[in-house]
Amino acid sequence: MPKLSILVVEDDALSRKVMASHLADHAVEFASDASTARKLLQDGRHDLCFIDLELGKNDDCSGLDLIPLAAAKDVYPVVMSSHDSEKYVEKAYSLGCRDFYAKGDAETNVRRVLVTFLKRRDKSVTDGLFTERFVTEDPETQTALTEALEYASSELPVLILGPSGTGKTSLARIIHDRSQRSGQFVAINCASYSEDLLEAELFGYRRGAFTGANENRKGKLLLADGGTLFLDEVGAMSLKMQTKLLKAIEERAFYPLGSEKPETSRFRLVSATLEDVQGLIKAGKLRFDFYQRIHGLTVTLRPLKARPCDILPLIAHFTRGGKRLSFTPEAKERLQRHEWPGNTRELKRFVDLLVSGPGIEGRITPEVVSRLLETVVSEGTRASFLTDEQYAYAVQHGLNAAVDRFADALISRNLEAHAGKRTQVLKELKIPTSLLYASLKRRKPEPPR
Amino acid sequence: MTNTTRDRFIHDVNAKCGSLKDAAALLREASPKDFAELLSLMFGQADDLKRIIASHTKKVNP
Repeated sequence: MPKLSILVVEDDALSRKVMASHLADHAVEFASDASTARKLLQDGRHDLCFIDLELGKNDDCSGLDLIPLAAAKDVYPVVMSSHDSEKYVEKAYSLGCRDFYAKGDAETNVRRVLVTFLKRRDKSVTDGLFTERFVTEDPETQTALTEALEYASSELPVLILGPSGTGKTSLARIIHDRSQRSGQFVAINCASYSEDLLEAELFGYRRGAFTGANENRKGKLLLADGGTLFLDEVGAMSLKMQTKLLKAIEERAFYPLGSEKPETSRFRLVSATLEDVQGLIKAGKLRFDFYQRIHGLTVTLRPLKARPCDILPLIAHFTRGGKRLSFTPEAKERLQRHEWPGNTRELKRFVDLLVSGPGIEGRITPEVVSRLLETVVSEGTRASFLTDEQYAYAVQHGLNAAVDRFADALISRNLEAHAGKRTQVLKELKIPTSLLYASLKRRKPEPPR
Repeated sequence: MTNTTRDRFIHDVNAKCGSLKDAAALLREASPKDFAELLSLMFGQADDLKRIIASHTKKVNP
């Protein structure tokens, strides 16, 4: 049974002791009066709340007032009472109570309540999940996602593995949504930035911290406070950056560039990579202690080729509300035979071409499928060289700035691979000395003003 | 005894007896420390039960 966060509102010390015993495997808080319970419900994040109706001598069922508060906070209210009258049961349910039991057999009742709660939660977690948010009929993928979402509301860091286009970002976002964290979902693709720029993006900076730092800027770590920080392509992060980020994860505190005042942030970490993580560790490109911090739970997404049962449901999902597509049996077989190197993203592009393409009427033949797949594959080969982030940067800052940024990232990574040996970089990248030094000068931070 | 008073009395007896029964169910597997703590709390609970019954006895037989 997963560990739950539970609030028990009970004025009787013996009853609290009994509940503590039966809930020993969970994170439990206790309140012995309505006022304390109210504060904990407002401030805390609980999955369930066990509420005794009578709180204190001569109390008049003040526990009833806590039921709508718990329900409003999406905390599952369970009433435990020694009142044997139906009117209390009816009243409690009318206020939003989800379960009610008469005190006297705590072990059986608590177990039953928790099992019912988990069954209901699992059902609501997966309701619509595999038909709307993450379309899949593949049993293995559904199991992996359901297990991942059991931990959505925990602090456990999640590492999502899978080839490009399998839905790693979608899953990260779903985990964040289900976590009910009050903060934002903040994503960053670690492969899109040079080491220096990645540091600035993650930690933020003060005006004047380096050339180009014309204003104070909050980093992603701070923006993700109370929310989720999603590190995409975490395998591309340099060792130096991993060390800095590890410190920030462990201490929950960090210094923006150019600042002497630390910032704190309680973010939940979700990371993703298409690379072989064990291979990266063996090659010394991923620190083991950093890996330990980012993978409390690992979820592996299968390539589309391994789950051909998802192809037609995905096509139906992408065309919902629009043009209906019909395939001949041979066309369906052609779709199943394709390797789908770009996975779901490639399938989406295929469907876009199919829907917008002129002259595609009636049942779609295997010839049409093959023709469009060739177009998609050749687009993919061109597009893989240019990420969405690079494109967006170029549009915003101009081509020259984007080229400089790309060159800086490439040179930085190559320098690290060669342990700083510039002659090796010049040889491998086939660049003139002037280009290398121009890049180093751009990356060298100006002394603080 | 009014209906409300009787309801309250029944509730209080149920509450005390219920928690004593629940605590007793824990005694077999309890560690020595927990056993001692449970006994202490059960003693207090039984004392409360006795007082409640005594109080209502007075109301019935003033």
